Amino acid sequence: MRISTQTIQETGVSNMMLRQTQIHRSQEEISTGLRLLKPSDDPAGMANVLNLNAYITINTRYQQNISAVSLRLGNEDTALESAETVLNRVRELTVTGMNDSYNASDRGAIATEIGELTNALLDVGNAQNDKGEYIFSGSLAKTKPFAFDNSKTPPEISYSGDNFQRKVQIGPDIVMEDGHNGFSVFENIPTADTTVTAATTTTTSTPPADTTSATTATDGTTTASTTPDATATTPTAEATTGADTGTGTDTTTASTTTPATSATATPTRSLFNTLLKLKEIFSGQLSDADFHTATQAALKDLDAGLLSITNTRVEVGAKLSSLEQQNSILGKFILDSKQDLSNLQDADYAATISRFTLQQTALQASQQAYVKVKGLSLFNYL
Amino acid sequence: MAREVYNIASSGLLLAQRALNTTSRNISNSNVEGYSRQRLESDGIPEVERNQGQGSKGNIAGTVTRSFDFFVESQIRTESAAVNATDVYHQLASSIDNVVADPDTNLSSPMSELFSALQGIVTDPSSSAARIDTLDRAEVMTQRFGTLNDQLNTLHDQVNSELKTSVDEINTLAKNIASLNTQIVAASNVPNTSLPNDLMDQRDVMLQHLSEKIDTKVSVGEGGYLSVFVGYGQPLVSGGSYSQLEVTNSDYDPNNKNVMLIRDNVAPSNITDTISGGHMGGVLRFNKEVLNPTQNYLGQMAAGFALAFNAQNSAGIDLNGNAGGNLFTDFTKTLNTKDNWHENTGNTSVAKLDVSFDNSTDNNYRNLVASDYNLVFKEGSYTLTRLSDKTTFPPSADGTFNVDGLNIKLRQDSDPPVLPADGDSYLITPFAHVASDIQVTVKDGSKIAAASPGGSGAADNTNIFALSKLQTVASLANGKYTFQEVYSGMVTWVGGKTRNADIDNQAHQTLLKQMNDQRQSISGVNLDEEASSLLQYQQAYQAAARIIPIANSMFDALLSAVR
Repeated sequence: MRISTQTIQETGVSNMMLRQTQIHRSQEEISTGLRLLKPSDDPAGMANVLNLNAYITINTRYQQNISAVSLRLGNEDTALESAETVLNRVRELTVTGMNDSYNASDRGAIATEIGELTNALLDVGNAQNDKGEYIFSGSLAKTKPFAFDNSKTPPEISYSGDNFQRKVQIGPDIVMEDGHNGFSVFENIPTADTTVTAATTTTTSTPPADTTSATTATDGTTTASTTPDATATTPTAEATTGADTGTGTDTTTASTTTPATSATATPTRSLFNTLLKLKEIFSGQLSDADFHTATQAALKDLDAGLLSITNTRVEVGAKLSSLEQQNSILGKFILDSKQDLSNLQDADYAATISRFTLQQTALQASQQAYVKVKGLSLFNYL
Repeated sequence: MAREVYNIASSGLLLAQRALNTTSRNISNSNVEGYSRQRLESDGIPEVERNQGQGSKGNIAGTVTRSFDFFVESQIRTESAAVNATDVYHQLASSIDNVVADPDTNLSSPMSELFSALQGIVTDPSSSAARIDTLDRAEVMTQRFGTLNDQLNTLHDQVNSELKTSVDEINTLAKNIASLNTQIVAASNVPNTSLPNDLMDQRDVMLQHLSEKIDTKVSVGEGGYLSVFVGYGQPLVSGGSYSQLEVTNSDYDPNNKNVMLIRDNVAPSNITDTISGGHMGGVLRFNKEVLNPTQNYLGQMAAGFALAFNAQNSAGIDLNGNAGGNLFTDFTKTLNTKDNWHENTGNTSVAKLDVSFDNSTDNNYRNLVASDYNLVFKEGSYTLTRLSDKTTFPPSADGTFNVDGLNIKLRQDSDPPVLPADGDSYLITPFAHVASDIQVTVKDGSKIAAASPGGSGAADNTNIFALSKLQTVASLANGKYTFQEVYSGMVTWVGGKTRNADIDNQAHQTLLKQMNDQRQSISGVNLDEEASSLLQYQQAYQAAARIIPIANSMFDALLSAVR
């Protein structure tokens, strides 16, 4: 083929331009450290980069949620531990006081101490977190959950929180309750005392719920009157999913956390009122036989309460350990995502720099070839 | 005899001189754009005997012709149109490509940060810090929507101004080509002269420049006339006459432009959709294939986001115990910022529309489709056409349209409302301004409805939990995609368009380079070749010059023999 002088010129120039474009690209990669700079570099890859970044952001947030929930469960555990101590002391006093060698004045002293211990337990029930929120009041974080109700004779301690238990998201498909409400811990204790059914009925009227265990998604009749609106709103968001497997598992994990407090129709008595009852028994002038019957019954209630507290603590412990597990799963997930992200978008320095060197050599060769070819002219010899 | 020798010698001298002239011109013009190398074609100096008595001096003058291949030239025009179209398409698409995934301008990061902030309220519903954080993030996100839409609007303006510039250049070129046509035909008709090679080169260069602006068809007519066709085959240049292009407002949206071909005595014709090549073709295709769809995708996301959040927040109870309301601009209302519909300029009635987003149970943000719509009133009935796939919809019983999450109805600003006339039509662009209009309308964090109705406790997080679920719930495109997925889908789509344009551009550049090399091979000047021609003709000249003293000495010898 015949080559025109202009073709020689253009070929040389366009070669150099091409090399310079390549060098520019390599330089960009080296200076930014990124291989993927804009979507057109790898359209599907860039979408993955955006998705991975979003995943990392939200999973980091789940980790924050985990530490918040852990802190709260820790607070709760501390409170429950104190409750246990208080109740054990009450139990000890009761058992000791049942000894027939104790006279009325000894029982009176025990009654006084039980009274003080009741106040201590009241403090536990009204425990607040670092933000000043009552930890056992359900959704009514600003309401003091337990207080003396002096309208009753004798005065009782009533619950003014609710059955709500907040759930926090700790993974893409996992939610966890961040504590227990006062109703499930202190109020919903089955009582063996049939003589005080009248008292039980008055107690059951105080909390909004009494029949079933609260906090599960299937509240049943108790909360049905309060939550129908809430259940109506959630489907609007969740109906869209079609297959939102997340919510399905949510309910199961949540329901397993609630101890199977069976007894749909079992009469219950608040732990506080059991203590008040004990104090009443010890300060009263009952015959020995009546005293023993009443104390035995109260002791059963006390044990049921202790069991509830212990069970709750066990549950809190289990939750804390599963949070820890979930935290490390998320950590691994974030690490993997970052690794993926790096594989997708980070420049491979070794490869890029060796390519850069090669491109430099190629440009130099093009330049030299250009100059040499330009020097070849017959006119030089005319 | 001697006279013949003198004649031959002087013919030879003349020929060599003209050849040297041609060579020198080639050398001097070797860098001139579009210059075709010229050659002196001569029949040679005829034999003396055969021409005896005719007093012929041989074909001394010769004819200067240009080395030129019409076929190669027209292929170059075709490739050049394709290269320019893909180049500008790629450049414009890159402006979107550069921003949609950039960490500082993408929508994905502020969106996931907003959801992350929402989790803060989920964990701690009564915390005012978490609420303020959420509103701040929402603000950042709406600003990002606005910035991206501004960028798209700027590109739209650029498209319009590029069209205007291209049309001006095309008009000038058409006029000049027509004028060269006239000159070339006149010069060609002068007897015993070479063709006007330089003028023809000039005309070819202009055709070349024209094909960089718009795809053309060129045909050579009689006597050197040349015709250029554009559009459906309408003549832009025909001999000495030419048409002009004009940019006019489109029938519906004055911000969208049409390209019209204006010819004497003929009604202007709209050639917009037929232009596929050259700078103008690339600009038009970018507008249609990338810019408008991107704006619709972005608008769909903004509208979907606002509608979904408003609906869920309205379903809850805020920190003050009041029912929740809208967090973002309420798109179920007709916004008065700018119309999201345009009437046809040919409409005979003044009937107006109201276009808003429906957010009802069966027709809401989940049903949005990123498309424009066309509404026609004909023979007493309305037809709505979704332009992305040409699906048509009949109106509902009350005469309104409740489809694709939209609510379209006649504006009721008089009683009875003005009805459209037969044949009236409207272009509906529901998403054009949405991304610019979206704003956080709540300034007080306590207005975020975290609790569910009935619950009302400060620690109740039921509703905010449902809000945060919007991150993972596939709520757009009839429940197929999440917001994040729609956005990354858009990024992939824009990236793909940009990359394909680049690949196309490189392919056409390679072809263009090959064709150019071929053309250079035929028409280009090689200086070494010309240098050797210089030597050759110089020697021919010297040799011819030597004939004269030899003839002279021959004559002297003859004379001295006689003497």
